[in-house]
Amino acid sequence: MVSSQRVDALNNPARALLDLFTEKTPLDLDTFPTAVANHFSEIFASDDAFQEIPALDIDHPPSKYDDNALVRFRAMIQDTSPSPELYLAKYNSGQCGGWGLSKDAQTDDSSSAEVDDVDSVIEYADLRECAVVWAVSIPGESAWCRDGNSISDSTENKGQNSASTSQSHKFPIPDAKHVGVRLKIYDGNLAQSLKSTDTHSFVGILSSESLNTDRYSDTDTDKEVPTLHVLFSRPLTSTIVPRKFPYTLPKDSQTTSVLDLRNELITWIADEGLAGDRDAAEWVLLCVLSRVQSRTPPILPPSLNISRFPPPSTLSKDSTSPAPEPILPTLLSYILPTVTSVPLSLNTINTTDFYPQSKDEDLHAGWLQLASGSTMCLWEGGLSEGGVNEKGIMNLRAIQEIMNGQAVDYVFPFSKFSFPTDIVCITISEGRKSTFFQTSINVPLKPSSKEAEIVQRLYQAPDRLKVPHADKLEMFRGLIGGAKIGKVTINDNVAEHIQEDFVKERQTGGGDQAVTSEDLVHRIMTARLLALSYQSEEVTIDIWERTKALEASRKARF
Amino acid sequence: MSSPPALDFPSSDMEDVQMDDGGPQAAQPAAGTPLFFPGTPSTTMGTPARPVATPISGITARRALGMSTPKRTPLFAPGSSPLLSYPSSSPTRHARRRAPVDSDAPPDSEPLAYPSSPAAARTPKRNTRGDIHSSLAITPTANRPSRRPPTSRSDHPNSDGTHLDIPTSSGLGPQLSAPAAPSDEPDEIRAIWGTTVNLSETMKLFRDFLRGFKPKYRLAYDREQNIPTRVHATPDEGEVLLYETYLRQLRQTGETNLNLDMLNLLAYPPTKKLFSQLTKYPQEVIPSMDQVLKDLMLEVADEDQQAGLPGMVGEQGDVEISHIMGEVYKIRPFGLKTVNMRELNPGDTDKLVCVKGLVIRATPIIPDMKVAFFRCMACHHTVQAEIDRGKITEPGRCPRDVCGAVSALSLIHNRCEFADRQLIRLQETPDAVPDGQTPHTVSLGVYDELVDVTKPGDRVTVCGIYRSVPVRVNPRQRTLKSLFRTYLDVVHVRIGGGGVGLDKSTRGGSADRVGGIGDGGEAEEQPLTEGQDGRQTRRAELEAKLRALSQRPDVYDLLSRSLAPSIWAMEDVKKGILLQLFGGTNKSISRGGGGGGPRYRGDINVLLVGDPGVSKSQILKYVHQIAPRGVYASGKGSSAVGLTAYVTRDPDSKQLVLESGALVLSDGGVCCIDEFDKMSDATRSVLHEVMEQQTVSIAKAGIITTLNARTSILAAANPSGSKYDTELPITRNIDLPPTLISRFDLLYLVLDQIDESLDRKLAQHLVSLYLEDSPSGANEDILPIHELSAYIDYARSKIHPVITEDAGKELVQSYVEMRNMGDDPRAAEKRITATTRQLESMIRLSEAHARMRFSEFVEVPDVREAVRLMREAIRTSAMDPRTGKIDMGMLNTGTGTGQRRLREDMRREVLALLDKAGGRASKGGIKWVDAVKQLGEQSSMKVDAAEFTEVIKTLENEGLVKVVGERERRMIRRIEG
Repeated sequence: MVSSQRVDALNNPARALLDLFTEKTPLDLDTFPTAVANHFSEIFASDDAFQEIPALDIDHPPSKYDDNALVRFRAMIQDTSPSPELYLAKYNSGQCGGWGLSKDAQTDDSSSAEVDDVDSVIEYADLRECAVVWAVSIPGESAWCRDGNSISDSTENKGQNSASTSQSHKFPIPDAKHVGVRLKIYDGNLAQSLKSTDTHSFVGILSSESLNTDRYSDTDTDKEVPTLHVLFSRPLTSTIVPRKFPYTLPKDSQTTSVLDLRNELITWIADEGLAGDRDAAEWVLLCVLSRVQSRTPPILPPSLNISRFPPPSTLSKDSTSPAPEPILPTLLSYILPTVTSVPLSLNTINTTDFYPQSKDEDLHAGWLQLASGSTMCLWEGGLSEGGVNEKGIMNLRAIQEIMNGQAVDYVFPFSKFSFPTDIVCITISEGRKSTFFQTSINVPLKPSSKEAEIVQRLYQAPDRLKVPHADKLEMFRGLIGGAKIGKVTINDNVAEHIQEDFVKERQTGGGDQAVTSEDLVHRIMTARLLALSYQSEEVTIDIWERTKALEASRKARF
Repeated sequence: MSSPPALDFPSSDMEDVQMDDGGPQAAQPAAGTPLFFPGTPSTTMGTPARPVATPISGITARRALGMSTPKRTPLFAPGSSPLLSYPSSSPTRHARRRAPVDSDAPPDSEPLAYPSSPAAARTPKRNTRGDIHSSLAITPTANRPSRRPPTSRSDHPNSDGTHLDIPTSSGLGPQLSAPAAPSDEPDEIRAIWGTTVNLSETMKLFRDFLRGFKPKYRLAYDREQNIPTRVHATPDEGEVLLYETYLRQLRQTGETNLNLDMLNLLAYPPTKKLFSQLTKYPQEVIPSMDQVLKDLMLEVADEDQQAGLPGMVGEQGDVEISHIMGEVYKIRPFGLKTVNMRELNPGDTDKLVCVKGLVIRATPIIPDMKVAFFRCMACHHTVQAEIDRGKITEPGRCPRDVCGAVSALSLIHNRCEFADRQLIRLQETPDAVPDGQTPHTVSLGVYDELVDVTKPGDRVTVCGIYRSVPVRVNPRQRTLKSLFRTYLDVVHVRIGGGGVGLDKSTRGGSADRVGGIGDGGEAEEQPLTEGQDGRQTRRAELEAKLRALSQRPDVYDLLSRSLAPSIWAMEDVKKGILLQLFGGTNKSISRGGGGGGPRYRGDINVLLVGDPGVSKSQILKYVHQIAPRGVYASGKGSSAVGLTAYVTRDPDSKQLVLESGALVLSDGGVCCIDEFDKMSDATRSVLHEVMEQQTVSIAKAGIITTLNARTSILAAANPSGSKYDTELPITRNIDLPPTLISRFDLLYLVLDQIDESLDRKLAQHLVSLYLEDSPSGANEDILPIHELSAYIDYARSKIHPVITEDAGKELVQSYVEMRNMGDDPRAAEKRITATTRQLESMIRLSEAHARMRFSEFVEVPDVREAVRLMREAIRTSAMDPRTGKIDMGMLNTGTGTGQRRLREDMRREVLALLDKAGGRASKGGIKWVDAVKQLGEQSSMKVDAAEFTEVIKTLENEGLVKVVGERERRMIRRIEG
């Protein structure tokens, strides 16, 4: 029964919906949307069934689907500010309204006479509200995250449909390929819970509607945008793929322990991305698995700056090719679900939007409008001398705000709203410290490979990156993903140790080198991250000592 | 044909312009001409019954001039078009109330036909209010039957009445049916379609209301609702016939809008149900109320004339009355409970709703077609069609039976009727937006007088009719009916809808421009409406919560604890900063020169000086989050004004650095400046001005201007050495000019003292804080940041404490005491421990403390706490480490008394030394190093090199010594003279 329903729903969702409507008649129009959500989520309850629904993503843009097709769309809510719309929940004839169902669709013979009947009576009591939000594909989503849905053919499609994405100002990353869809949500509870940068899998009926239904009058720019009439949705975790903590190795793996796996991971990051600097690689690892754990008192992800990063200029003598970018973000995208690389050139800073801004009641996205759990790599290597304009200053400030307080201000006319975010920031700078930002951790890079090779390795082309075997990669991802959701506590005896340690150090240190309370807080937070990376549920004395050693070796680099 | 007087008075609207289609009408205005009083448009309505004579009184003359404004458009000349005759005047404005008269109707015959009926006079100016699309000025029936819940749709007896006003056929325009005004014929039953609401009853009730409402009813109602009321000064005050007064005001001021507080309807016992009728069926009820208003205007005017009131005597009164007849009066209801715009739902369609918001965008004025004018190409027959729900239906065929040509009608643009219309986007006010959501917007349509009343940025409360109209989902699809867009047709706007931060003085005139009478101009209505609306109830809830909080005996500790929960200890610092956030009251002296005299700041400035790593920056960040309009700046490379910056390569390190990360100072907030000591001198000099005058002067590109910068400054600075040297006075420790330091009300030294037990406690605190993954902080009673922020916000905006007499005495006494602290009977010299600056600071701090506990009065305990904080701060910062005594002079001038004395001694000794040396050797003088050494031998104290330099410099300036040579080889020579 269920499977046949599934097939029906897949083939003709509108029909399935109408059937449900008839089945439920007489019905309460207010609860029908919830009934729809329950009905369809039940049909596609199992993961297999869910996977059967064709996915809407950059490889399968809306243009590839027919009108009224059932699709699922893994998306980040970009804009919840459009005004809700009213729809006629029930036509006079007793047919179902909403979900983009027109009367035409229901009466099979094209009874145009009825449609022309402009003066036909509207039953105002049957009007219901549906929320309108704009959703985009998750910015910076790594290719491996997009489920199996034939990644292979992605290369063929390149360029061909990038132009088809309308409303590109609503995607955080400028000029990036993405899918932007307007969602119409009929279920009031779901609609109210949606917030900007939330991630969900939406399942619904895809169609195309005019953009300006919301607008009061100016209909001259009557663009059509893909519109998804949502039947039901599933929230996504910050790791996108569900993870477990502590991470356990798959049975058939050759790696003997989590510790080994962790070592392998650090080695890989160090060798491929950081010219063999294992300490820096460990710091990168600690940063990427951090998250906002608490806002009062603030336990926020640390911001990492890898300084003394050699500039690429020594290599790129031929000016024809664009300046190469560090390989690190690309490398991270193999193991993290969402990575955004922001090359901070003066042009980027001065001309692109970093924080979302509402212009003409349309919320334009900015670089920083990223889903929770995203990692952002800021590369300062593209900088040159020049002016930073007002916009640039505000942009830089917005980034610093994220590093300091994990919040982004959305700018609306005459008001600003601060939205909490959870973004890990890693900056790569050439100098002794970041040009623009105050970061909580600064690690000068100490490449261990040969002089001549360093730059070459740091800036190697993405296709020359040595990627471990898929199984190994999957284990890396599991390790990081697990740590990202893990919880760590500090035992009383360890806490005691830490206190003693602090007091002792204060006594002996003295003078200018004395450890301060800020150092202590920083150290505790690092210890927790370190524990997470070891997949340990508590900070042990051993981890505490390791933390101190790591800190010490970092400080020794200055 | 033009009436000759019209030529003499070109400003008059009388000029009748011959229209190309004017065939049938041509004779009619002529027929009317004798009736018109020459040259005074206001008398054009003058019916034969009231012959008007010259001279025109002052009032009428004013009115006559006013005739050229849209409000006084002609009634009589159907063919006239001010638009054509006076191209310089705004066409839409003239057009908007042009009489929509069917070409076939003999317009000016009406006054003749219904000479005494006000309704008749009104007819040609059929009330086509833009906001109420119902064109049913008088016929109180809906012309959209479908829009009501169909209780008895099919068989309603009055359904035929719905089309009365739609000029479907040529001869019978609405004019003829219209005079049958319900008020004239109470017998006729007219009901709002599909309901049992009897419109004539409604009109009667409203009439009673206008005639009978007295403020005492409102008072009684408010008491019933437990709304704080204002007591009437005299019993008579409650007995005034409020609306009759308003009607007279309307007449006297020439206004045409009566703002109607809907709660008054509710308060007046007989009209209780009118309130719900008005809310539910505004489209029908409002026009009928307009009608009643007009009737009553005339009645009252008539009565007044009879009674011979000033300005209404005889002919003058006639002029007034005829003038009133020519007006369109409008009821503008307000005072409904405001709802959040998110809560508007389909059920509110076509009902009267009230929302609050921020105007973010307004279109230019749009001429909005109200009545379309069609002419048959075949027979020149003309037809008018009214707008219905934003659409005008073009007649398919000529309605004249004889002609009946199909598709022969064409639109004649300049005979159509237009109204002013403006579209406004209203956004939710920030305080109404749920957490984590983006603000919603709603479209507003404003019409006529309300156009251009609001500007983007205004906070407004609007009352309007919620509309939903079908839209086309997809241009390819023909379906129109399944999707609707919504908007509000505004009937009433109030600027400054209870939001925060609107300074009424800056936009003084704006409220007046909304126009209308009865808009709570009476003081009594102001607080009442506030208590009523929905936002307010939420706010009231919050308010109650905050008030309860303020009653807690430990509120001071609770708030200071919540300020920066992750920072251990530093209680006094937190308290000082807390009081800074509350701030004292700003005072200005109303007398004195210029505009209101000087303004005394209430802002409290705090400086934290301390070792690196003692969480100064953290405190600053907390404050920045909590403070209203908090701005965080790092002193390093920030300029106080301007907004540009430059990336440049540092010449030393060859690194790219950002120069002058500029920030606008936060007016009315707290500016947190980290690394204050690293700020450039130029920037710091700006701060001098900011901190005392609270302005910033900018001279840039030839423009010299002064901006307000009413900001408190919370600054953090590091000692000039890497660590604070307790052996040295603070001025030597901080590399800041004393003049700037003295401008801080509180200066705290936050030292990183290594002390085992303290360290242990600190570590304990921190470890326990970060023990858990998501520390709850539940072990301590802490306010969340947003609540703390709300508390401070509320106190700042609502509480303005006044110093009581007792507190005043205490202040004086404390000040004297503080000054006396310097009186040491053993010491010869007098140290200054407090200056008037400290007194001012004390006042500010006590005010802030009173504010913190939501008290309207500064009392003695407030002063005591302020004094305690001051002493603590002074004790840590103004202590002279050499004498162990407090000396404010150290902060004010940079040198303490003890130091001054020391210098005096040194100077004496140096001179003596030089004289001695001069006696022995020749002119060589004495070597610098030797001098220092010799002094050191003489003195019991170590000779400070800096002090020595200072002394020598003074001597040099006085012309007593001369220094020659460089560095080590410096020689000091005595100059004989």
